[in-house]
Amino acid sequence: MTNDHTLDAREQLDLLVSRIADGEAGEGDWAAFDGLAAKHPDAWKALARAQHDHGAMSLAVGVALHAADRVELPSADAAGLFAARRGAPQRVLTWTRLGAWSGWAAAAAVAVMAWNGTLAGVARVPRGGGGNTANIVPTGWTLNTPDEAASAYVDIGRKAGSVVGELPTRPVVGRIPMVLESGERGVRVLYIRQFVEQTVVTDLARMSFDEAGRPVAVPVMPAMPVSGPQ
Amino acid sequence: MSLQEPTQHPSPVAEADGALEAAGDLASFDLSPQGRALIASAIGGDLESLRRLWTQHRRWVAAVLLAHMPRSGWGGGSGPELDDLLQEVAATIVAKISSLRDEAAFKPWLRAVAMSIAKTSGRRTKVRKQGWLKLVSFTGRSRDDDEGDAPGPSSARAQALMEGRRLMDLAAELPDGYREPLLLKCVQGMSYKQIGEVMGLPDTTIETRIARARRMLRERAEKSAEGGHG
Repeated sequence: MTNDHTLDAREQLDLLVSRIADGEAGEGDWAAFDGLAAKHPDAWKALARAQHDHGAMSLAVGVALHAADRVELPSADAAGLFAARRGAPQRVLTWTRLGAWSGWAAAAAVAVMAWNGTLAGVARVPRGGGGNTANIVPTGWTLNTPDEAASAYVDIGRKAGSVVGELPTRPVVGRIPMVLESGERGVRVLYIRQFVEQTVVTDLARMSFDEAGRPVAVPVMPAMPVSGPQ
Repeated sequence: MSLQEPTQHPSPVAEADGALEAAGDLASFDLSPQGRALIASAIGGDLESLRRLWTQHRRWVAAVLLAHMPRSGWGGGSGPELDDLLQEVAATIVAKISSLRDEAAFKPWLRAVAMSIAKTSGRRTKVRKQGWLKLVSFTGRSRDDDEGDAPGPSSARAQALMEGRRLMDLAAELPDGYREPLLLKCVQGMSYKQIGEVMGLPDTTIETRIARARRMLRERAEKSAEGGHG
């Protein structure tokens, strides 16, 4: 009986301490806490500890979650392609590791390819022929392979001013040993092709934190050149 | 020549279909008329409405991912990382939002999608024995260097962050039903009621679970400290 009573009191104290630490306590809760604290001297210590731990953990969770603020919704096309790739039985390179650095740019690149005919089944542009898509795909391009589509993406992007080019290095991000159908041993190598894009903005910021641990955007605009814009 | 494919798992999109059914079973909760209209508009295909919803909800969605994803992805390691998984959630909701029939089921559905993706990532991580190399951004910075952007943290804040991360490590070992509300409470501004709406549980249950989670955490921390000193 005594144990049950002690357990109830402990649970009640835990609840009150937790409620106060969470900032959800009312006057009645404080009165009840005062009453319990009179009988349990450790109550104040428990409250201080709970508040401290909650603050520390909120700070750590806030830091872990600040990546969430960078993740935007993809376009419907990119999401559809993503979903199709996810559901495909022969998936090789997961989108996930492309991550926030490449963001939806990679999905958008695929969307461009789809738009240009490689994935969406649109009539391909014959070599030397413009057809209805002459304003999209430069004359001379054929889009029968991913490499051809990627080249078209770079070429069109360069002309549009949004694509700088492709980096020469292709970082390897995974190696999966496997047995080939012939019985030989093989390795599936996963790598990244790095395309560099550019855009012009009037504001540039990086994520930082204020004194309370809240994520804030800090302007990082570089100084203008002395000679002014060209 | 064909290669031997790795073991297949249900795609997150397929699992999202199951999540959709599960979300429909959860009790409905209060929604403001404006909130309901926004969700209805998003279900109807308005991407701008969905973007607004995403901005409002992505932080707690990230916390749900954090609660259910492999611990290795919380801050580096070989598993998928939080922003990667959040992008999967974003793509999935764009692709599947039109399947949602009841505005009141939006939050539980969003949570179910996040849980499904987090758990699927856990299975993928188990299968994928090889560690992924860390991606380095165009500027040559590792993704984990993000926090380096913050102005020099005070020693008190750095200490609190370290303690918070230690508590998060301990929280990772708590049962799902306790870990999730505890982490959600650390998302700035989330009340017991809001957490209850997300989890489809009464706010009194949420409060009790958080209080018990804190006690478990405290006991584990004390045990860990004793082990460290012993």
